[in-house]
Amino acid sequence: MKKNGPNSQNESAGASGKQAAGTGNQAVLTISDNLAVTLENIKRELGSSPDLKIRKFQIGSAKPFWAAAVYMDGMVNTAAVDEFILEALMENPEDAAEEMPREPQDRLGLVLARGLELGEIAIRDNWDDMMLSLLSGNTIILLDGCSKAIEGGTKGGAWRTVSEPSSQIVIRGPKDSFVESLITNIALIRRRIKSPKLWVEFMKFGTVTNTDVALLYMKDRADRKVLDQVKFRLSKIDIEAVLESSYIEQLIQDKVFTPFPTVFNTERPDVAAANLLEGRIVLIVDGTPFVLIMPTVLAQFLQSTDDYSLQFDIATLMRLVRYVSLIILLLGPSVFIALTTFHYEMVPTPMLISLLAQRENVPFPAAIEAIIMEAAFEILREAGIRMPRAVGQTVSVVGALILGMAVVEAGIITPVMVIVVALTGIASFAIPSYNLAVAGRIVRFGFMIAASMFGFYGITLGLIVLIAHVNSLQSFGTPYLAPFSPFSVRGQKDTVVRVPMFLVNLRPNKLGHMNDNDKSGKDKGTSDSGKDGQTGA
Amino acid sequence: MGRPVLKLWKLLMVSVLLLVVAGCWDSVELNKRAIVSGVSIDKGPSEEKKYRVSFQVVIADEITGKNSRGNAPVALYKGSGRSIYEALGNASRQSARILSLGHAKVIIISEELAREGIRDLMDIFERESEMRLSTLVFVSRGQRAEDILSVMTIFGKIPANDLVQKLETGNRSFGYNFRIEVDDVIRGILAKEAGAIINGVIVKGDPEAGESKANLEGIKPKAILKNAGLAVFKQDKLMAFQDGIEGMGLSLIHNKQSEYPLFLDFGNNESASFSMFKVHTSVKANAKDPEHPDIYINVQQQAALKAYNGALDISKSSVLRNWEKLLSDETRKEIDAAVKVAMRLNSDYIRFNESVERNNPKGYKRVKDRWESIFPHCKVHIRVNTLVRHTEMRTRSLRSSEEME
Amino acid sequence: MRDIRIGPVHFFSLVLMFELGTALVVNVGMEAGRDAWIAIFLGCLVGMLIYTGYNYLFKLYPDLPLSGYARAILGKPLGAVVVTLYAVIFLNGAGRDMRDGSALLVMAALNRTPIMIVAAMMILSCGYVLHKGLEVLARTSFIIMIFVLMIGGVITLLMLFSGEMEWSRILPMLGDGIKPVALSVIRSNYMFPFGEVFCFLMLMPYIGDKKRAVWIVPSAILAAGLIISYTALVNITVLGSDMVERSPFPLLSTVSKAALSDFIQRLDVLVVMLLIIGVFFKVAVYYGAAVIAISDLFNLPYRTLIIPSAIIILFSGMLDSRSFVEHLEEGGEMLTFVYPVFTIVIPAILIIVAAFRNYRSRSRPG
Repeated sequence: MKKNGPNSQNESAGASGKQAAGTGNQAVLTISDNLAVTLENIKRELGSSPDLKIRKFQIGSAKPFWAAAVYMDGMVNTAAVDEFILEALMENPEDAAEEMPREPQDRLGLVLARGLELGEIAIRDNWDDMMLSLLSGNTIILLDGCSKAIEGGTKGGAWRTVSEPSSQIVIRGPKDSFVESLITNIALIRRRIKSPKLWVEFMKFGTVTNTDVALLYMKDRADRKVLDQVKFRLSKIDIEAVLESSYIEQLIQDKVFTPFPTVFNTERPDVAAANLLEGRIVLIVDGTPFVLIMPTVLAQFLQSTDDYSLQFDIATLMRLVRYVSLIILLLGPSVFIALTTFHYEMVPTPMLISLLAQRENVPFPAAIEAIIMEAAFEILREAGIRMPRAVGQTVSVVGALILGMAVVEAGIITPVMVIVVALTGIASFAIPSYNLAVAGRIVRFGFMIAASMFGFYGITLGLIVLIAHVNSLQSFGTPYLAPFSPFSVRGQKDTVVRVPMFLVNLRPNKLGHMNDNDKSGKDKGTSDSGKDGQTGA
Repeated sequence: MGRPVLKLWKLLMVSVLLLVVAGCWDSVELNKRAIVSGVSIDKGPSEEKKYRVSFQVVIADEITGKNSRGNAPVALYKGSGRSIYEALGNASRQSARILSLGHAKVIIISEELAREGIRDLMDIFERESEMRLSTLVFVSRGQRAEDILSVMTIFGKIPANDLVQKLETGNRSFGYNFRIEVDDVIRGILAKEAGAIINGVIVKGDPEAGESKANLEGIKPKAILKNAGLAVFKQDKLMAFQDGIEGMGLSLIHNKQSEYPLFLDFGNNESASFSMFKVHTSVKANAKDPEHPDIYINVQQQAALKAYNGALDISKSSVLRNWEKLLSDETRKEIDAAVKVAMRLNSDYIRFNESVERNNPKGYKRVKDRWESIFPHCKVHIRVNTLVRHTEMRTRSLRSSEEME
Repeated sequence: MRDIRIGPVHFFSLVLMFELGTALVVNVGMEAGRDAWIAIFLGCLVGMLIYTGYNYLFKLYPDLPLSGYARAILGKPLGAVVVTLYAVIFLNGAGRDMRDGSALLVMAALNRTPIMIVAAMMILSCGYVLHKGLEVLARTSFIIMIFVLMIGGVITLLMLFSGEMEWSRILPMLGDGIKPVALSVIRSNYMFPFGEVFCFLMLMPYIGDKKRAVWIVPSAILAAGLIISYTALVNITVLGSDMVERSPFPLLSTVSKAALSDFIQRLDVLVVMLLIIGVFFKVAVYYGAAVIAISDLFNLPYRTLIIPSAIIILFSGMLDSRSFVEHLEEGGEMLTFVYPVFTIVIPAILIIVAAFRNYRSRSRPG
């Protein structure tokens, strides 16, 4: 009904103007050559929103006519608007009379010629386009007697400024991070890759939100197949609202039931740039600092920018630490459960005696104990994130310390279990990617259950199944475990080991596809080893 | 990918999970276990109670000290039965927890039982998957085996561990006892012509007094565990204990002694003490005629002078040369003594048969069944090569310095 | 079936893991006493010899599994019978190996867990992986292979440093002559585990690189032979041949001997893991071969056969004998009388018929 209101109004009001309105209630609005009508229509459609600003002014001195600048307050760059309207259009009162066009429709040309100063200018003759443009932060100039609108690119307004990344922190490396503004984000990448081969494609998603999305890739490096695949999947998206890149991520990722992330995300422009250079495709969504990178492999989630700013030996050590962390995160509590309840003979005797003494008065079985503690740890972590930053840290530290101590004091949990749980918790923080850490945390519970039922039998079977599962995953046709499996010697340069810079060719071997991959990988490997030999010699 | 297939999978998963939730069959919480640190086996009074088995159980609370009640750190559970397993069952019935053998460090067999044969005892230790093959085996010399397990010890609170450590420390420098584990004993019993060797152990002092904490209250403990000789077997029956030079010789033949002391008496109140180290023994046979095999025992060793009371000028190499000869003779004597005893007992626990077999497998096969009659007549050649590298931190002895003045 | 291609490296690892299977942990070739390791190595050479025959068939029909060319060579009805027999033997093999593995596991570690549950977990995991596809199985085998080799390395180092190995225990070499060794090879050694490679008759067409395929399987057999032979060597040097002979699971005892001071001891769990992994791949390969054979024969989709086959394997494996001893007895008979039919006799017939046809068709126009 609401939509009907302006339409019917429009019909009656636009009797004099050119009205292409249909007779049905789904009437399409058009830009009327009557300024007052158009402005009224805009107001109505937006429900007289207070942030809608309309500035009426006259152009020309000899034979002035009315014009109006319409924009959304707060979404425009105020300085640009002022410049656009005041300096370009309202000035020059002593304009020669002969310049004034006779016909109202020709006024457009005049204004355009003057307003060109702003640079980004377009003409809209479609109502929906105009409204979208208005809502995107552009300024619309409407001229009386003219049924077209001029759009001035004045997008702007208050965005968060570029600041340090909050979730992917490095010791050494660039300190900027993406912001919510799409254009800024693209610029952040372009500043790093000043190459004409960096191509950007714009698209809009969300039937309601009309969110801008940019697809970035290096024309000469991106895998054609992957690019087509990404575009194909993007074209299949049907969604009302896109408020974060994860909305898109979930719609385009390979549809397999898995906790593991198959699309990489980052808020670091340097990471995005590096990935572009490696031939990956970057998807930036307006309104979020997290950009999507695809295709991805598991190893990528364990890389950090630090690795490249540090010397290779140190970086390799750090990598190893991360891989070990992942293993501890996955298996720590379950191995402990298996050891104490199934394979007590494996524990060195002195340690066993101390474990036994601790266990003496604890009421819960080890498995339950572990699950309770892990769950408590998850709660603490969650609370720490939600709390205001100043309080959050205190809560997590105090919570961990006091809860841990009290729980041991009270004899509910053994001290060793607290150690194990804390260790896995810390290990999960050592993993650079939050997504992977979360996946690990979920899988960990599965292992704990398996271990509590079958000891190492459960763990081993679980491991095999987990490896098979991860092996079966793909990210846009790239095997998830590449380059471990399918194995390629060349791919190993930047996985667990990071070889010295002079041996790293930033562009890795083609990640390849499930099927034809092995052969090409092999060929690549051999040809590459020859090249390496040359470098060495 | 058919949808129904996926559903079937889920169904299967759920049903298996449900099945599994019903029980965690093998999961035993640690506080349901009693960790056995040592097992002793004595002869029981009757056929119904053929074996009297004691289990030394660790009381963890007493050892880590936090909730300690100040009682003994271990407790002994006893049970008897017609087999070790039956005895274990009887002992377990007295215990509130599952007696877990996974950490048993020592098995002690009483001499009385060992003389009758240990073959039937060892099977359970090998068969039981919880037991370790690396458990050490001892024979309690002239005492009840359970007495060995009921002595409060000075270092470490678990007597069984004390025994293990004494054995290892001893073997490193002074003693001739060496690690003998379950599988070594079993191999000894299995070799038809030979026999096992097992370490002997005794409680020195008053075994009764060793049981209570009073044992540790004074500076001089009333009872101390001590390795005592090597028990040699003919197949599975204990024949004798070997101490002194025979024991040392036996250890040397088995190449288990990497360091041992030697004492040279030059008469005239002059003497020298040496520590022999880097000792390596190899046994080879020449068995062209398997009826009359020649056995060659080669020993390589170095000597370090530890104490010297004599007037000789030991900065002369000729003196050292002479000592080397004397030392070699001493070593030869020890080995010879060990060989003689073995031949007298007619048990090839020194494994000449293996050397013969290695040298002449076909010939050995012929004489295998008669080895008992051949072994005592083997010709044994012992070659010892000793090297004195230096005289340690001093050259002349105190005595020679006095005389020079 | 969808287009599956398994890379050469992954195929190698799959064959290797299959061959190592249970053979790594149980006592193989102990009829030869302390020369078991020689027997194993000879058995491995025989296995490679058998494979050359398979290779001939593979070259004739590089794109067909056994179930395909058996029908092409012998004609539809007879071929179908042969393929059915193979499907049965594959199912049986999977069931037997599953039983082997679960029985050993129950003996060594999970004393009180019902063997049925242990087996069900195993077959469920296999089913899951096969559901993901043969390629995933092969690629998983590669990663697990690295893991297994690492465990092997750890055990080897531990053995060396703990000083439990006494090389004199394998001497004298061939003390009783070659006869017991040869006997051991002929009785069962060439068949277990090396002859079992006949499963790969079903999988060979999926090798991605047809040219190199010829070398993949033999080299994997050789590698497996060396590893198993080496393991037997270690077992004998640590425990002595008598003890190894009496032990169904010697590697476990061997590793339990190893200790580095008080800290690292009882790493037998590593051996248990080796066993689990080995059994897994053995069952999975037999199971996969069976599923492919059935789906090829009856033209049924591969994935729908996974669950029914799993149920057949589970129950046939569990019901085939009352005890492990009975199971081993049966196994011995199978190895001497039944398996050779499938590894040697039928392939030989296929080769002869195929060669004859080949010869005729070539001589006719020429």
